[in-house]
Amino acid sequence: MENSHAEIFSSLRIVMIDTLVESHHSIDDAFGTLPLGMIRGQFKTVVDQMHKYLQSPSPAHLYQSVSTWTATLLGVGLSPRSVLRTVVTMGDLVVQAAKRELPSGPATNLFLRELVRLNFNAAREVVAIFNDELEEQRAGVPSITPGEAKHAN
Amino acid sequence: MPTSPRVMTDRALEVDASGKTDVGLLRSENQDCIFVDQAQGFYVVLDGMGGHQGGATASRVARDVMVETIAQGRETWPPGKLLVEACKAAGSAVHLQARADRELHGMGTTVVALAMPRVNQALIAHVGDSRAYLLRKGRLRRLTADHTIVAELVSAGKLTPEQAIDHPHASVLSRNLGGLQTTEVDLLEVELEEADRLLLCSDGLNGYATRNAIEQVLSGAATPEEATTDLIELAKRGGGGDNISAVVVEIGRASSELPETIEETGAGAWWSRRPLFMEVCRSMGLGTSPLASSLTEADALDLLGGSFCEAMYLDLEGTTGIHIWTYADSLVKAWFERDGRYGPVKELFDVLRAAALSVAKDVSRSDEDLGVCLEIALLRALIVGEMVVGGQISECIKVANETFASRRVTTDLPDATFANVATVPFSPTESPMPVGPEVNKCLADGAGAAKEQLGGDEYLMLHAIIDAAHSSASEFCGEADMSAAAIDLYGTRLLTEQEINPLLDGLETARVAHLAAVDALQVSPVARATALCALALAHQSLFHAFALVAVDAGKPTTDRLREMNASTSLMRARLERNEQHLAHFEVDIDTVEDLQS
Repeated sequence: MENSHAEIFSSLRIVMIDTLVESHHSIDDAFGTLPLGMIRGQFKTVVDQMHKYLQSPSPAHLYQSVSTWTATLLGVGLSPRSVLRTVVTMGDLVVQAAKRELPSGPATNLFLRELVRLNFNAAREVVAIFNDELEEQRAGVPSITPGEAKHAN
Repeated sequence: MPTSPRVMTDRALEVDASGKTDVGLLRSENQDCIFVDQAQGFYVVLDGMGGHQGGATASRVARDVMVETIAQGRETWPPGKLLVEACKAAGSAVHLQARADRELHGMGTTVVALAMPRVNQALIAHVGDSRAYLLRKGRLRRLTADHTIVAELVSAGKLTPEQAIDHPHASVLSRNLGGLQTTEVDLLEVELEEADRLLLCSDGLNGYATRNAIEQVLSGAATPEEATTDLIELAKRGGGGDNISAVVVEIGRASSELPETIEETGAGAWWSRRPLFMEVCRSMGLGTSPLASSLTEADALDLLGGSFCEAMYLDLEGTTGIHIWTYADSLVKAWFERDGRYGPVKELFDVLRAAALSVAKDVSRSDEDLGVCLEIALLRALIVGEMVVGGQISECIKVANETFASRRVTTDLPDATFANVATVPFSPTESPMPVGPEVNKCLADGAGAAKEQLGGDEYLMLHAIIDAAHSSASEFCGEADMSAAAIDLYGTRLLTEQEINPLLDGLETARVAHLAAVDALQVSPVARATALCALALAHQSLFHAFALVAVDAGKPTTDRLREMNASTSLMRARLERNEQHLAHFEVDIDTVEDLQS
């Protein structure tokens, strides 16, 4: 079943990339500062990673893809909150593009469900990555206040 | 206000409308302005601009003039012409006021205005980048083209749409009301159908929400009132960086394919299986969640599971995620504010997801397609929950970053005790180090062994270094003694070489050999460590003292050189003056000779 979903996804690949590129201003303002060619390349990567996941759903692969994309977006200058919103919005745009392009019916609904499941898992991964970051930061912060530190010295 | 037979539809009561404007999350003042007159069939959204006070003044002046013009001209002008003239009159009034008041200079406003002479006819006038959309059969269509410089260049074929996206002036308006005495106004007419919804909005909405999200919210809201509320909430969730205004006009009842299915049957199917949902929650231990630890198990189950079930029902009914958002936000925010961790939150949402999907599975048994659609809707609502959790964690990261940064700044202050202590001390300790017989023997044996290893032409100098360091380490001689040893060494240099480098090399060679010899001795680890520490300090002290001697030795030469430089400069100045005198004399001689000849 996954393979048929992957095939449908593959047939919509260009439409999905175009949809993301057309909507890049709406996804996040930060994309407005990047060259269009670079944006298309990034979205192409995202769509291809989604396709790969539909071909063979692997949590490890999803984590790797999401963490790479998260790092990229943080590098562009997005805040963690914006990164999560961007990931969710991109997933939603892909779902909407599929809904727009495919004939309504049970088969399409099953395909849409796979995409939404993927989006949920991606969002969950982003949240987990941020939580890891938070825990690391909490561990790195001194457990005593500066005043106490002087006193200790 | 009297009704107008031209502007107002005689079926106005069949039209439902709502308008809302909000300052947003970042601005301190709302410069947007709206007008909704369902009886007249007249609706306006204006987005003022022009600095402090100017923007708000412009939009309000324009609104008042438009309303007045519509009221006065209804008997004179056809509806389309009347709408355009109202816009132009508004622009002229704003322009005149801007010229009259220096503080308001440069103010202006966008406008998108809708008049409905008949229930199935929409006349839309607009200037600037406020927009009109039409929702028909669940699909959102933009009706207006922004009046921006870039958009007009695209229309003129001078820019491609792709070039326009990245253009630096993408948001610069080419037209507004008030910028000029007269303004060109675009007018369009749309034939409306039953169940259409029209949306007028400022860029505070379409700039902070995707078109798909607007489509979803607009098609999913039960009423125009609900739609405007949800749209403003949507823009705020998108950042809310500008004032947000939305006017929604509904002709009959709006609908869309999937949302309608979910609304009519999915929400009911969900609610009818509430007992199943709650039972799964209970069996998975939701009642003992740490997030509701202060409540009894039954109350916790009701709070966490029952509230979620109700929020989900309301969102399914309206095909929005707002109730789930509110549910998750209130719960998660309070938890993280109490320094709660992510683990229990994740467990909570895992339980809710499992229970929700069990409901979808149960629905699938009787209607597979509905079950799939319900699962899609449930997952989308759960994604909203993830966004809330992620947003809250992001806030915590921000706070942790700020805290960490402030603490680093504080601990890096110069009064920190370690900041003023040299990494490698060059002075011996003032108080004698307790050296026992074993350490003394160790130092003596080490010095002897090192001297045996060191031969060659420079052995006298190397032996002198080892003796000085040994003496310092075993007797803890003071600074004066180390200076004397350094002067002796400097004399050794004079006997062997006329340069300082061989002595510097010798200091390093002797130090390494000395420490290696002590380290190789068969003594107790404590004695060896104490001896090595004392020797390391002694060699450093010797080096320090030698450096001072070398600097002192070189000082007279430096001073003499400085004096010679000063004398040379003085002589050069005198020479220049003499040369100038000589030149004058030569000129004078030439002049005399000329006179004589």
